[in-house]
Amino acid sequence: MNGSGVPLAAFVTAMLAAGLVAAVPLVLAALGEAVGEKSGLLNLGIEGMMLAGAFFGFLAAFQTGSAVLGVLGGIAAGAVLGLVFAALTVSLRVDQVLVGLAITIFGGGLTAFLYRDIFGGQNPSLNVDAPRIAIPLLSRIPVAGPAMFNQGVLFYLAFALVPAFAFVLARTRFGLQVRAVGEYPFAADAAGVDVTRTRYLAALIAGSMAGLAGAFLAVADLKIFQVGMTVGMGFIALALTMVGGWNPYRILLASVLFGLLRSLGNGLQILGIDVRTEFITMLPYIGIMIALAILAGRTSIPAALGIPYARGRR
Amino acid sequence: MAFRIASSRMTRRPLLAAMAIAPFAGALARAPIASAQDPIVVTMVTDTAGLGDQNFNDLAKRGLDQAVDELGVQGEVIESRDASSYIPNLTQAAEQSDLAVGVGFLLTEAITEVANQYPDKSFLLIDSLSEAPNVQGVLFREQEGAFLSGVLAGLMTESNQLGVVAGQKIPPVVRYAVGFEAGAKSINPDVEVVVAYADTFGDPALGKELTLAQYNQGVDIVFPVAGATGIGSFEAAKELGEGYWVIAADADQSQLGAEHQLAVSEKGVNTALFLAAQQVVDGAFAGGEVSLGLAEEGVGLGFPHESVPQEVLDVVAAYEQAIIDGTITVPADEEELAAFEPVAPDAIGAAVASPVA
Repeated sequence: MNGSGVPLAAFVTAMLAAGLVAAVPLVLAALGEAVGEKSGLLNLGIEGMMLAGAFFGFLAAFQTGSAVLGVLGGIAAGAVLGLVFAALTVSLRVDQVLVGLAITIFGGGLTAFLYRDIFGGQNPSLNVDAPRIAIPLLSRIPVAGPAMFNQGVLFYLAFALVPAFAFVLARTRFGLQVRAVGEYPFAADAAGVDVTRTRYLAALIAGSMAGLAGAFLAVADLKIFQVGMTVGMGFIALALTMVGGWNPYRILLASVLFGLLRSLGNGLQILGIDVRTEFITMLPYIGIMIALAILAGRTSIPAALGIPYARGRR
Repeated sequence: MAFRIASSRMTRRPLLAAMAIAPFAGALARAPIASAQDPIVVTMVTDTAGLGDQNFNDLAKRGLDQAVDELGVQGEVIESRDASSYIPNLTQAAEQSDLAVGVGFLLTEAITEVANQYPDKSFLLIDSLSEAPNVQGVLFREQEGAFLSGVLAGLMTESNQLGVVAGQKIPPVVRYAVGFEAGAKSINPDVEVVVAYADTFGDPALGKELTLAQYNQGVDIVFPVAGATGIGSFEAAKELGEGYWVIAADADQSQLGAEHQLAVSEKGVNTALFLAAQQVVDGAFAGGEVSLGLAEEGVGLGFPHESVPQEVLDVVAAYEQAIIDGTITVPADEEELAAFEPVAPDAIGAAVASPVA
């Protein structure tokens, strides 16, 4: 057993902070995915879009020395892939699963190739400022304060975007259109909603958010790029979108649960509790499966999810 | 370049003839005239990480460069873009050279297959063993170098808590972790070593998380043995600032944060390649298993940070000598670690240096 001299409160704070930071890229990607899926687009390309966001974010930050430009570069890379996804699935009506997987494979291959071509032999880390911002008063709350209110800009942004996405989806004209084209595009079309335009916008948002999630990893959190560094986070975000029932608040809850279970597993190891590593690595996934089982049936999948829309064809 | 192509064509055509006179081939290669006119060619085939990986492949290339400089061999590199190119690349290497080198465990099966087709050629395999008789498989005694890192960490720690961030639980990783703990506990009985397994070699975000968790728990020196997962350890140290250290495994990683790299537990992939090239030049190459440790300079502790005092390095050197002499047998797995009796510095006649803390 370990833990000599370190107060429990500090340990809990560290675990909490690690869990919340781990949740950030998942929340970002899953929020975008929720908008896409609400509009009827099942995007399995998040993983590739995140890698593209991570690489081009890293590249932009490396070239300019600016974290802000890096993050914007990452968003732009994700947005471009989002538009590619829309062009193929909405305009050309190619199967969404195929296009999504193709983008995932493409994103992984392209970034691996470019990284080795441009940075091979150096493997540099970024020398950019991504300052922490301590929120006055709140950051002094014991235990939870330092974990939640002494973080980087993107950390706050991710959590601030949750109510913003909830508001847009539930309370705005655009949100209504997104939901309409995802449920029953024929009726939406008849009512004068431009299905194609709405789905393009939704794909653009999904791609940008995945790109932002990748840029968070490479530019803000790790300051390096590593081939395949997202290690399946895109697919976890996909699962979290479903667990969260396309509701931004529940997505946040699911992501934080996932992040906390992951850091709890790490904490058990650090405390020297003798549990098999395989079990510890499984913890967050088991948690998500249990949540999925409990929530299954309580949420309704967007009726037109995965189905291309062609006017006059049913 | 033109010479090389010409010579490889020449060796390719009379391949059958060469096999027929295989018993004489060794004698021919040893003849000084042959080596003067037709230099010995060594070709290394990388794994998919390729050159620039700051690890196996770059280290192997360093050994190849040394062989070119000191032995006058001709060095070639073939990079593998994907796993399916291992066999064609190794075949090309076998065709054009005297010694073909497969860099890394991942090429084990491919090199066995190719070596069986070219029984008159010599092959070197890093970090793994092959059944083919003409393949020399090199295994490293990582635990010996890690022991020295443990001694260094045990002397330098201020919190008496050390961490290992490990990748998957495979033998080379376990050898590193076990050796580190044995070394730390020998020099500093009060020290505690925490080991956390990421269960992956490719997740730097998880590596950062685990390292941060260890630092926050009071650890001040982390030894990541986790490939790319360990890259995240440097970012964790940078985030927390001064007083948080990383001991890199395998190769120097100072480009990730020189100010936090306490030292490097080196693995001499380069030495393995150089030694094999030398054996081929001397006509002394043999297949089978080769084990490289401190005595063979196959592993070691290098790149100490400038803040490490000389007295500490002297103690490390004393332990190094004791391991080379066989006074200390470093444990190589968890069972041996459990049975290991820490060896205090006075037992090996080292100047008793009190822990820096």
